Parts: sequence; structure tokens; C-alpha cells
Amino acid sequence: MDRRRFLAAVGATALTVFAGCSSDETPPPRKSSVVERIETGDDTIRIALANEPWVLSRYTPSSSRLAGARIDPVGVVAAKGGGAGSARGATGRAAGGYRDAPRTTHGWAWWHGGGYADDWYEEHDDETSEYQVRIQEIGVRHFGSDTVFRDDRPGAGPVDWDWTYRHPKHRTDHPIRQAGWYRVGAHIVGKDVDHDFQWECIDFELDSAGNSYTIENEWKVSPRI
Amino acid sequence: MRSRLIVLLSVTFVVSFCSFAYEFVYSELLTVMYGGTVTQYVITVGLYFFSLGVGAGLSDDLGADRSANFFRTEVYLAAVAPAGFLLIVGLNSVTIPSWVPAAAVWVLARLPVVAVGWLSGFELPLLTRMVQQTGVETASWTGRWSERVSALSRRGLGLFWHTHTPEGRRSGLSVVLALDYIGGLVGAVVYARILYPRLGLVSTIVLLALINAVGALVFLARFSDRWGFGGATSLSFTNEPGVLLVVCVLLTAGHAGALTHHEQLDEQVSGLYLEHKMESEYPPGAMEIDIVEQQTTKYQHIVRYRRTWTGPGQNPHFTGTTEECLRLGMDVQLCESWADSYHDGLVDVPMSMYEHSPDTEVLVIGGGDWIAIDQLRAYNVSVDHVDLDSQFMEYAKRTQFFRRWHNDSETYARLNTTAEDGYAYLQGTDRRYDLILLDLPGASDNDLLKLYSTEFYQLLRSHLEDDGVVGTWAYSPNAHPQHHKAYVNTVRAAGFTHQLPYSAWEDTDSDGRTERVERFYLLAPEPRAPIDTDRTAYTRQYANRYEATQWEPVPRYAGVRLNSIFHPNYDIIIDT
Repeated sequence: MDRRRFLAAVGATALTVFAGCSSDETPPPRKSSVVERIETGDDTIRIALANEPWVLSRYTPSSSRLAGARIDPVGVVAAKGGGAGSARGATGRAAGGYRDAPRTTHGWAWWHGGGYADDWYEEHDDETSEYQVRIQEIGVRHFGSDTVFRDDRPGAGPVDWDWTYRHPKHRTDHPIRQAGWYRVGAHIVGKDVDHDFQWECIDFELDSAGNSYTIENEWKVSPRI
Repeated sequence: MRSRLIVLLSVTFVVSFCSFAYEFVYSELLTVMYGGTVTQYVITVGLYFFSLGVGAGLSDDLGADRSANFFRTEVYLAAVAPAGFLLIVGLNSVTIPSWVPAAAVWVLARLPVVAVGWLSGFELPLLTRMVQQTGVETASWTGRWSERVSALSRRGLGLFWHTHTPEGRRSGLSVVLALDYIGGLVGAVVYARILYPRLGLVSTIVLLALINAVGALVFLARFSDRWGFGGATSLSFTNEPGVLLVVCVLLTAGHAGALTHHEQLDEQVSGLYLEHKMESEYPPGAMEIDIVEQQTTKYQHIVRYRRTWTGPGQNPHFTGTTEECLRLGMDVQLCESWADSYHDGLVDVPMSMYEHSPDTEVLVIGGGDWIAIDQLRAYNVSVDHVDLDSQFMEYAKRTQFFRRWHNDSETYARLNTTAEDGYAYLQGTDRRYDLILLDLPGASDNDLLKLYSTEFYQLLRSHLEDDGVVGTWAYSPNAHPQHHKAYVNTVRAAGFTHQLPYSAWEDTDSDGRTERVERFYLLAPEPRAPIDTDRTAYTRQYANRYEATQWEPVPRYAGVRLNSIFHPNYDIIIDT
């Protein structure tokens, strides 16, 4: 074997090994429809909730509890763009990652979303189910400046909420006190199954423009499925 | 002639010893940094042999001046091996931007393994040819005893193969290969029994690099016409530049100097790494970490450190600006701000379900800091306590940092402590308990896979009284979803079909709001009595947090394999 062929064979083997060893099987964030819209109005943050909230999960109820669960998963998230090629997905909420991040159908940036998510959902189609949920509580937390949000903090899940609203109705108005980064979270539990599906969150930046406020950089933050 | 052969074969043994030991150092270092003992060792060994093959394959392209190339190879190894070590440490000490693909970091961290393997791959072909070049009959110096052994071996081989009696000499290849494999075996044993336990990783890699550098100098002294004193031979090399000699001498002196202060070196490198690693858990510039003390027991690395809030605004983590904490490896075990409330959650909440009398039998697995024992002493219950690490237990007994919480609880009259692996203890006892508390380190190490397995939880279940409960802390399902799903599927498969999730609460930063300190699960095969908020002082204090808690079915997740000893699910391991 001449030297060139030897090196080519070695290189191909090495690439295969590296690709195999470093591949990341991390599941993507779960899909859901819980918070419909977040907007401002009359010095409040208006949190509009979905009429029929649902979440996709790998949770499997015991057979007697299956009646309420729709088994066919319904994709609601279209991962666009190439901002998150790696399996770790889109990050960088306060570091300019918003513009390139893949989007949900609501137009929000999808935290840890990316092209890999569609592949994962396709390959694990038989493991996921869609569950109707009810929203037990809404939490609102004001973080403040970009600094707090650097380096992907906080992660998915509840935080130390500043305000909570138990058993919220279709719309919750939260009074605005100051600008900066916010998290709105919704604690969801099964409607027809006895299971705590934890929290679905939206992070966003509230910007003040004169006497009014605008919402920017909205990220949907869900736990990995 | 004969002395040249002896030098070459000795060098073969030494370089093989170093080469194997380097890879073990890298394997362990990668395990410490990235977790997954089996994965790291297997991939390192695989890459090492692959790189050896590449180096051997390319050795034909090296020039005819084999001695000079061998000398160079040894100098490069003496420099590259410790530099590679620092590269891996460095990769884990800095915050890598999120846009850097994980695969790139993975490859970078394995480059030292490949580099050392590749350079080592040059060594064997070069040495083989040099041995052949000496023209010495290897049998002539190995002596009569060696011939007898050979004759005996031939007889054995003759039973299964066609054999022949070599006339006077063995091939250079067979002798060099034999010494190479013997050197590898000795390297593995010496590393496992002496170097790693006594010197640690940092000093070991420096020592190995020193051996390579000294080997290069010995080789130079024997075979260089320009710098040596061995006289001109067929293996002599003449034109090696002085700068390489200077580099080799500097490497030798530098490594030797570092080794004379190996304890400080080890402490400084690991301290630097740990401080950076811990600081990177917070937003940049928000927390300063200073290592107070480090100790290594047979089973774990104990790190006590101070964390100081240096971020903007009020400290959201704890009251004041500085406090002392403890980690085992990279797993946080205790911080001053929440040591009490964590143990309140672990002990006082489940104790709200049981009689506070010696009739209540409690088993604590882990908890080598003795603090949970002190909490149980307050309820006058009978306690069996099992922890693997007797060195850590002794350390915690006499160190003031722990004494303020455990109040010398090792003297509790109803306590029976055993220094043993929890799994082995359960296998060897028929005792049944009302309450089993797991105060274990995190699932961040393959060594702990067993304690997160179905088999272990089956053992726990078989040691519970009819109304018995297992209590344990748990990772957040949001922050560690893969671990969580594998964990609940594992405990469910072991027969724990019901859980009562709850948390420990405290206002840790004195901002007037109660924060979640830790999550816990009570696990049982059937629903048990609910938490009685009137029964203990802690549950009374946070009654509003516990009134709504209730037993619920342990969920099951599709497509998530349980973790078994013989079929581990590595998703249960947390990457720290």
C-alpha cells in the first residue's frame, strides 16, 4: 500500500471512530402548547394560555389510565434555520443567539431546539404520546439584566418565582414593575392522567420605550423529552 | 556490541512502560473530567492502539538515521505527554463558547491520546531495526537459563504447532516485541499499585515524561558521535542539532524539579482546575472559589472550598458574601447555608411518619459525614449506618467543619456503624427496616452505577418492613431529564411503584423568601401514610409546603431503559 492510500484509509477510519464516539443522543426539548401568547398592554404583561393545552411526553400511564391520552403525536414545532447544528441545540438567550435560533410555530426561539429534533422525533415516534393537560399555576420571575441570562442560565424548569397565580384562567395579567428579562412558567399536570408534567416556560426581554413596553427575544424553554 | 544490545532492549522496556502508563493516566484523567469510566478507558485504549498502528505504518517514511529519529521521538514524548495532560485540564477549566461543537471539544480532548500513541508507534519499528542492525545473537547474552526456558516452551508449543530450534539467535522482532509487552504489563501494574495511588495523576505524568527524557539522554550518551561517549558504531548518529540536546536537558531538569515538589505541584494543578471548574458553574465573574483543603481517600477526592459572591447586586445563593462548602469529587455535598435544611429534608420529613422510639429501625446508607445520624439521634430511633469510606468517616469525625453539625453523633448509643459497601451489606444481612435513608453522592461516576441499579433497589425493597419506606434525595427532572427518566424506570422495575416527592425549604439568602434546597423522594411498593406536619419541628415550620404532598404512582417512560448492573444505562450518570 502506498503512503497516500495508507493515510487515506487511516483518516477515513479515524473520522468514523470520532463521529461514532462523539455522537450525541441527547433528546430534544419536548413539544407542547401551553402558553399561547405573551404581550404587553396597560402596564401589564398579558399571558394568554392555550384553550386546550397539551404536551408531548414519554410518560406511559398504566393501561387503565390510557383513555384520556391521544396517542398520535402532533408536531407543532418547525425547526428552521441552521443556528443550532449540534445536538445540543440553540442556546445563548442573552448573547445574540435569538436571531439564528430555530423557531416554534408561535415564532418563539426554541431553546435547545435544532434540526436534530425532527430526526429524533421521527426515530422515536412510537415512544411519545400527546397528553391533554391543565395549568395548575403560573409563575412570573423578573431577572433583570442580560448578565443573569448569559451562559444559558437558568435552565428549563421552575425558578424562584416572584409572583404566582394559582388555577389561572384563559388570560393572566401581570403588572409591569420594571424592564429586563422575565420568565413566565406554567405548571402543567395531566388532565386525564395522574401525572405531574412539570413546567413549560417562556423567557423574554421587556424593553421600555418611553411610557410603553415591548416584548422581545422570546424563547420557549422546555425540558428535554 | 553486547552493551549496545542491552541498552536497546532496556530502552524498549522503559519506553513501553511509559507508553502504557501514559494512556492509563489519560484514561483516568478523561474519566475525572468527563465521567464514564468504561467509556473513557475503552475509547482511550482503542485510540491508543489505532495510533500505534498509524505510527508503525508511517515509520517506513522515517530516514535511515534511526538512532537520531528515536532520540527525537523520546524528546517529543517527554514534551508532548505532559502538555497533553495540561490541554485536557485546560479544556475543562475554561468556559467553552456555546458555538463550539461538542464534537470538536471531544476530539481535542483525545488528541494527547492519539499523539502519544502515534509517537510510540514509531518506537517499536525503530528499535526492532536497530536491534537487528547490532547483529548480536540475542541468545548469546540471555544465558543458559533462558535457553532452558525456551526449550521448555518449545516442547509445550510443539503439542499444538510445528516448531523448530532457532540456531543461535532469535529475531530482533520477537525479542523487542516480548520486551515491549512485558514493559506494558509492568507499566500497568506499577501505575495501578504505586504511581496513581501514591503520586496521583499530575506527578505520575511528570515522572513518566522524566523517564522518557532521561531515556533519551542515555540513548544519546551511548549512540551519539557528537554528544556521547560510546564510540563510533553502525548505530551512531552525528548531526543532531545542539538545540535538541538543550531542550532534552531542560525537559529533564524541569520535570525533575517539578517532581521534587510533587505534592505542591499536585495541589496547585488540581486546585487551579477545581477552582476554574467550580467558578464556571456560575455566570462569569459572579463567584470566586478558593480551595481550603483537599484529601484523597481510597474511594473519593474530598474538597473543601470557600465560595465568595463577587457578582453584581445581592448574593442570590446564600446569606452574606462568603461561605464554606464540601464536595466529593465534583459533587456538592454540603454548604454552610443549607447543611441543616438538607438533613431536615432527608431525616425530619420521613420521620414525621414513624414513632420516635427505639422500636423504629432505620438504616442509613452513605452519610459518612455523620450529620444524618445526629438528626436521627434526636428521635431516639435505632440506627444501622453503612458507609464504604472509613477514611472519610474518620476525617469527618475529627474536622470542625463537620462537628458543628454532627455533634459527635458517632457516640450515639443506639448506633451501629459498619464500614462496608451498601450493596454488599444488604446482601449479607437479613435485617428489615422501617426506614432506609440513602445519603449517597451523586450519580456522577460509573463506580456508583451499582447504587442506582434495579438490583440495588430490589435489595432495598427486600429489607423493608411491611410499612417500610426508602428516602433519598433526587436530581431535578428538569435539569437532568435523561437521568430522571432512567432513574424512575429503574426504581419502578425494582417494585417501588409509589412515590412521594417533596423538597427541603429554607430562606438560604435571607431575602425573605423560601427557596427550594433539595428534592427528595420517598419510595414504597404501596402508598403509605402521608407526611404528618405536626410530627416534627421541621414539618411544622414548613407545614404549608408539606400539606399538599401525597403518594402517587411512580411514572414509567417509554423508550427509556432501566439501569441494571449487567446491562447499565449510562444515561443515569450525570455529567458534572
